[in-house]
Amino acid sequence: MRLTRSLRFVVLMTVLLVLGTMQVLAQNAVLRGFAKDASDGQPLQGVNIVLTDDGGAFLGTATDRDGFYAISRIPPGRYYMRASFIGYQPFADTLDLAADEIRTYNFDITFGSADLEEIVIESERETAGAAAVTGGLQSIRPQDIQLVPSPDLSGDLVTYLVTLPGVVSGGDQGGQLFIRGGEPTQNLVLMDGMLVYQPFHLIGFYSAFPSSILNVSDVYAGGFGARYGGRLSSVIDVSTRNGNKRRFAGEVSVAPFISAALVEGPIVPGRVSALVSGRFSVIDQGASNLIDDPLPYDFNDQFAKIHADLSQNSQASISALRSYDKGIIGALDEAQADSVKNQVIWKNQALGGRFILLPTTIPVQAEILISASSIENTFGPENAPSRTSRAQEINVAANVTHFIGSMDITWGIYGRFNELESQLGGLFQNLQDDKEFVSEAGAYIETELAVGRGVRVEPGVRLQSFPSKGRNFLEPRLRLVWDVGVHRLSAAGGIYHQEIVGLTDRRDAGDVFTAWTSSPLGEVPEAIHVLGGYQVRPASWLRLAVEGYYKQLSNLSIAEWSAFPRFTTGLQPADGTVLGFDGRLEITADPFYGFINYGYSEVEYDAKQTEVQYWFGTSALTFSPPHDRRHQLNALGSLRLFGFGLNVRWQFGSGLPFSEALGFDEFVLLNGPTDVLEEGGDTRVLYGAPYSGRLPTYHRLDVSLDRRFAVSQNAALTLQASATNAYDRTNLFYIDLFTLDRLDQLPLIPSFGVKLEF
Amino acid sequence: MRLMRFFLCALVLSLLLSACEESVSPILESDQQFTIFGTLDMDQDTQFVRVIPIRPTLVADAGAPLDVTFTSTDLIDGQRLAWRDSTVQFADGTVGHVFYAPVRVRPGHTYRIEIQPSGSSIITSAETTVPAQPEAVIMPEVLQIVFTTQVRARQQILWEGLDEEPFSIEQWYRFFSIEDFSFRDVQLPYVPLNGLAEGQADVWEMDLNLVRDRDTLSTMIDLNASTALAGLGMTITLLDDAFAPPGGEFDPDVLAQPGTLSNVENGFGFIGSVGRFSVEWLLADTTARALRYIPLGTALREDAAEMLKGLKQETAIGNRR
Repeated sequence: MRLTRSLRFVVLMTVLLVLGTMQVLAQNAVLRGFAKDASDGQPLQGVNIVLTDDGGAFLGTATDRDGFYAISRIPPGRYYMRASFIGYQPFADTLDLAADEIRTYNFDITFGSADLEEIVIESERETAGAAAVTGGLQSIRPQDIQLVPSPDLSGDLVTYLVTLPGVVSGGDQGGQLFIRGGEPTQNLVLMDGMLVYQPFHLIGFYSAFPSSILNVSDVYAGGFGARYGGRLSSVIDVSTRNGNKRRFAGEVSVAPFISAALVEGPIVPGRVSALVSGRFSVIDQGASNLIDDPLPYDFNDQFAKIHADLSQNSQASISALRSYDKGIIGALDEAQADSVKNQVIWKNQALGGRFILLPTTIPVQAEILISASSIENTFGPENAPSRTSRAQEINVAANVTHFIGSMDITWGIYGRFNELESQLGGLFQNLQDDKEFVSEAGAYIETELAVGRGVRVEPGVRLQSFPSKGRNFLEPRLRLVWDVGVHRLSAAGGIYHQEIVGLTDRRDAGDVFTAWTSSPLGEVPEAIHVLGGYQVRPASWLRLAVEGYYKQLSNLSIAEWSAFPRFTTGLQPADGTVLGFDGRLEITADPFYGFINYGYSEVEYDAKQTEVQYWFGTSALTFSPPHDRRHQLNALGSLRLFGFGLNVRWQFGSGLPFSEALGFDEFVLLNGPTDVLEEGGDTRVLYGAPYSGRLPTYHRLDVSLDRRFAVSQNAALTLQASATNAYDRTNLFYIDLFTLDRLDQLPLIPSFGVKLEF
Repeated sequence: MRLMRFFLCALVLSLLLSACEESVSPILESDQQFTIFGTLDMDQDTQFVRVIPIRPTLVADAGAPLDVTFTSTDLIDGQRLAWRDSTVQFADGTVGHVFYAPVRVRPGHTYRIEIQPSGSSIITSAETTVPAQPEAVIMPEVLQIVFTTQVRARQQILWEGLDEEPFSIEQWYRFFSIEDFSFRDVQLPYVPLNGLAEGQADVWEMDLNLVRDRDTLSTMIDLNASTALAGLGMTITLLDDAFAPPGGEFDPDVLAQPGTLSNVENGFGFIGSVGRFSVEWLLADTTARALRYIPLGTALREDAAEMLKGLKQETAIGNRR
């Protein structure tokens, strides 16, 4: 019944919106279309489009990540249209627009000198840069990623993500990112609309997102809008670029960590293109020899995309992603590699189609997404894993945006089918072997309304329904932006639920095995986000930003605290809070670019477990989980001189919490008269208060120097030398409480890379 | 250039920072030295206590000798006893230290266990009081015969001076075989007549269903004409007052939490004590006969008469010869 009511609500809203849109059309014209790079047909985000009439009045907008723009409520008449984009030659034309006309006008712009005197149409997403954060949203472009030193030339989204304040990495190993206090499994990672469960590779420099395939990545550290749902913490929405529609191109790179190749080109010149990329780790043969220690990691990722301009009003694309990781976390010396036999393996697969349509009769943009995503995760001895978990999601969604004057209204519906399967070889995190099907349907509506005086309001609401669970959630969302000259104030907030959760035992830093299941303790995890920020650009070369945030978490499931030294325990419910702020300073003074980010964060969990009251004196445990990094500083400098590029990054993090113990003993169960000559007892760990200790601070310097040589008109060779952990800081990854083994992060790793682009 | 200088300064600073590698230990300093487990048992001539040194590593070096002094002191009479160490291989194959002393503990006495490592002033200790002797009152049996064939018989035993329910109750019947002149005890589970044993104001009342016992016994032994009922008995096992798990259940997951059910100072574990108390009595002949037992007195008398008769016959034959 509830679902029927919800569907009725969606249908009603749709009818109202269509009628409203038709009403808006009366007498007014609409101009819309796609802006592309003339050289390769790539969509360009952030192109400013301005219409000026004879009286000097102007209307304007900026393109989105698809290069799409729309200007509605244009009075009929003659207009001078001008499109500009930094680094590109302006594009201009004169257009006669009739009453009620819906004109689709696509154009290409050419790389060349920029005209900085253009009127800039601000939108939330058009700006990118280290300090360009608006309501928790930061957009990352491939060129931003290239500034971060990495041990190879392919560049990777994750190297940039870990420079963001509030993003805590589990370490150089493990592939775990905690964003503003959230767990890795609480991050929604999308690639071209497809869910990617665990895209970050075992080695912290790599993910399934090499910069060479990226268009733009929107990272919402919190307060994300109604378009997104199903996760508690953050959204990483990755959009890939299309293959070159003009000519065949590609690149090949070789380095001690990874070798990569990418080929792209037109299938139907000017209309259909393909892009294929593959990367394979060579750590065992490369970096491992450089440091003379084992690096037992094997990972790779492959991506392919076909994009087609079906007509002037429609586009379609098919994307496919596969990633694979295998390794033993923490085994950085011979003895550990020999003694620790448990290895973790995970494999992501995603396949999806995206169809964009601009109907000729109404001024809307419609998007249809169909995708299937899966992850398979195993843990245990090689060839005989003790635990296996598999999750699969099939998603069908439609998003429609209506352009009504100064207001955009976007609504969407979706249906998902989740299959969750675990073979755990016994109890793990309260789970036994299980197979479960969870269906999900929902709808959302959000508007982007310019109310004047630089204020934009984005209210939204999302309805999530799980018919197989009999659960429905209504989640209000709100985002606000206020531009006053060089100042920008922003705020965001909302309520979020996560029915499908990933369970990882955080007590063992060396085990990132994740079992996916539906809310295991019955209650569905919930988060409330509130954040507010201020951004200022006092000079063209300087941008400053601060943002504070608060997250209230409830119904979390965390591992039970047990004195038995094992990780096969049950779960206990927990609530939590996250409180913090970021400070960012960004300098763009050609040929220098740099930023300094500082993040302060306080994460606290409250858990109740009856059993521990005799040990800790209370059944309510309040503690900071192991990803609670209080202080984090990132400084990056990039200098381009005499054809050389020098990139330096220094990162600092205060110590992460870890559990201390008084020691170990045996526990003999005395349940009456007991023969102590017979009972050996169970080994027990005498924990101190949970996560009461703090690991030492972490800091590291990475440096890279590169030089690009033009080989021919369309070919270039780039050489790179880099040093990861340049001053060979012995950073502690974790201490194995049971063996007292100290496991360190990666040592100084010199690296040399070469890349050929053609 | 100023910016470049700043970054160079940051680089130098970080190089300096790299020089100081911080060490960290997950093991907290503490006065908690030993974990001890054991029960002092009234029924045993020798008492045993497991001693586990709290160690900084998961794997124990259990074979190493313990340089400690282990004593027990009877706090009532002041008797102090030094215990001896032994290395024991347990049923699961692991090895550990068990201290022992040839001593019988007495009801109502409090014992203090102390372990002190050589050269250390820190003493790990625990105290336990052996349950005091309760008084058993045997109430006369209640016998009812309905319609001349159906027998109902019950008997109450009142244990006075018990604060808590006994840990266990054992009931037994003693039989005498006239054939080989031997006694045999048969254990029966204690099944109270009306649910569990009940206690009020330090008195625990135990109700025996003698008819049900008779039926049970007849399935266990051959109650023939040469087997006489020589008595009934009951043994109760009492745990000391501190031997009370949270929630009344011995749940390993709960009890494994350090500090749970622990009376050890400067350490962990638990030292408890166990008292075992018995009472024996005879059924009245009438009741025994109603329950189809042969009372021992009757059996002996009949047996003696038989023997006498046989003896007389032998004597008469001898005289005739």
